[in-house]
Amino acid sequence: MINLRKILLNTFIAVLLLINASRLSQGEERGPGKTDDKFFFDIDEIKFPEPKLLRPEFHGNISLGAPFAEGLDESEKGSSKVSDQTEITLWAGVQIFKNLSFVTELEIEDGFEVYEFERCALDWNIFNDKCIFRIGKFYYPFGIERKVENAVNNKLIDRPNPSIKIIPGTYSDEGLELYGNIPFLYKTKLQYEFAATNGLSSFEGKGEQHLDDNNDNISLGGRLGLELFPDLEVGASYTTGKYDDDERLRMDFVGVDALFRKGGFEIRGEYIRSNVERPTDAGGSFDRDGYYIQTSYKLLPEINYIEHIEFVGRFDSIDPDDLVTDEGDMDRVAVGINLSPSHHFILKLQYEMENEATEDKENKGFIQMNIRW
Amino acid sequence: MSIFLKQKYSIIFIYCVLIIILCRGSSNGYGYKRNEDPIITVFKSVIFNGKKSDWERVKTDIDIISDRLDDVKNIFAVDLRSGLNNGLSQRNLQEVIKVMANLVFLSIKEKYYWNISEGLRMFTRAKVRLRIAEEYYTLLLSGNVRRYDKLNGTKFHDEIFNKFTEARNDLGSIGFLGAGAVSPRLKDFEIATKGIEQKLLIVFPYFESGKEITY
Repeated sequence: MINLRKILLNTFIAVLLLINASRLSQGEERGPGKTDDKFFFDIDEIKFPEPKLLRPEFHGNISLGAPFAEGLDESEKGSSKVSDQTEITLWAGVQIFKNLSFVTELEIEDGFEVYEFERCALDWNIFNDKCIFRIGKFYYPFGIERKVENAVNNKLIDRPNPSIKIIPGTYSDEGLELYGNIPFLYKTKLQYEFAATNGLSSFEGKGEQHLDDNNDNISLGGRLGLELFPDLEVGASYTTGKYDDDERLRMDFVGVDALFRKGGFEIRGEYIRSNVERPTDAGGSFDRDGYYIQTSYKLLPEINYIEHIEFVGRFDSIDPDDLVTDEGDMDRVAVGINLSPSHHFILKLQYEMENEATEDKENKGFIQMNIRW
Repeated sequence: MSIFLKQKYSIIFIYCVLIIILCRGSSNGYGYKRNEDPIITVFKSVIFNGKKSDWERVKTDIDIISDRLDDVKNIFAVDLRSGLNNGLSQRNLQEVIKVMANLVFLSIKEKYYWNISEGLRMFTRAKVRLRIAEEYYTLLLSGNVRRYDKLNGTKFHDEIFNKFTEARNDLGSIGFLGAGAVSPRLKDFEIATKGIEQKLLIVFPYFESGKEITY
């Protein structure tokens, strides 16, 4: 009987101890648990805005330009015509579905007389920006100058000669494109762009076709770029296709490019070479090439009313036909200064010195105003 | 073989349909989208890759903002790298995110720091910095502040929001070529931003705020 009482008492004490111990251990768990609650960052509370579907955006820019010292016959220098510097670009884009977007760009140039759709394409983002399929009219994926050819992105008033005389102007073409960025080790990235398009109809500047095709041949090409660091990018481009109506004559382009940016400093350069098959009676096949190097430095002065001042220098050189030496063979040095009082406005001044193979040196200057919205 | 899209009328037709029928609004800036701030991009990417347990990518993402980690270390003497490395080695997303949130907090403080150091003399620059600070708060921290408000019956989010408005007004205005200019109120700006900072530290008590800077 006594033993039983002792056993019951011991059991009771043991149970009490167990309950206390369990409460104590719960308390220990709850203590930090309560603190943890306060020290918990709820990831699901971060809500990134989703792209707005079917809400188009409209943007554009107007560029008004004039020479302040001109030393050349305008008819001879297409890139330097006064009217070439006055243009309007209208841009519209819309996210149709989460992975499908549409972009169009209309350029009104040459004194508002020429209307051209530079871009009009649908982009289908197949895999998280790593693979995007494009159909329509788009800038042909060759080199890097096309990305900054627009007046608001171009740091000088005119474009480098190789980008308008070896490649025909703003080369946009109709067809299909596959492009994307693939991250590599550390901070490196591979950019690829491959296109199948209608191609050019002539080896001259007028060879760019707008919504027409002179033959059934498809031009194939693209660019591979490697972002070595976030500041340095190198790339190589190639394209080939038959340009004549009878699909007998081939023309190809090969190019290499490099771009380095650090803070306000930027240096970019491109080399472009093209081989053109031409009938013997028209002079025979020939090569042409050109390159440019452009450096710029953007200053952010401590002055209200001036967002930035940018100093730009560029050297370019072209040989449009290796079989002949004429005024087309030229080197140019251009220097410029850009003043931007706000994000929407840039005033550009440029002075250019041309050195042609068959003529005297010519100097000229331009002023241009860009307004964007 | 020719490409079927060469028919100009089909392209023009698609263009007209998409532009005329779907157009409902417009926005500022030029067609090429404004680049997202790297802190926001990386935060987004760390969450995305962290949830998939892709720790290699999380590490790569964090490497992208190593300069920001250096900046806050130089100004506020807070070394967030060790915390991030601990989180990465333990593969603990919660830890990594907490340190990232701390970085966001210090980056907000950094924007105030530069504005106050300049005495709010550079209006445009000060305005942009404040806009970015507000963007950091709205996108990355406000969700957790609201959550705190719900749990504790406080109204910190509303108060922080109002403080941002006050800070914006304290920047003054440069007017149009000087006409209608309003002088900045530096002291008031300091008080408003300090208020934001203090409230964030109540909600996120584990944030390291670094050394106190006297201007």
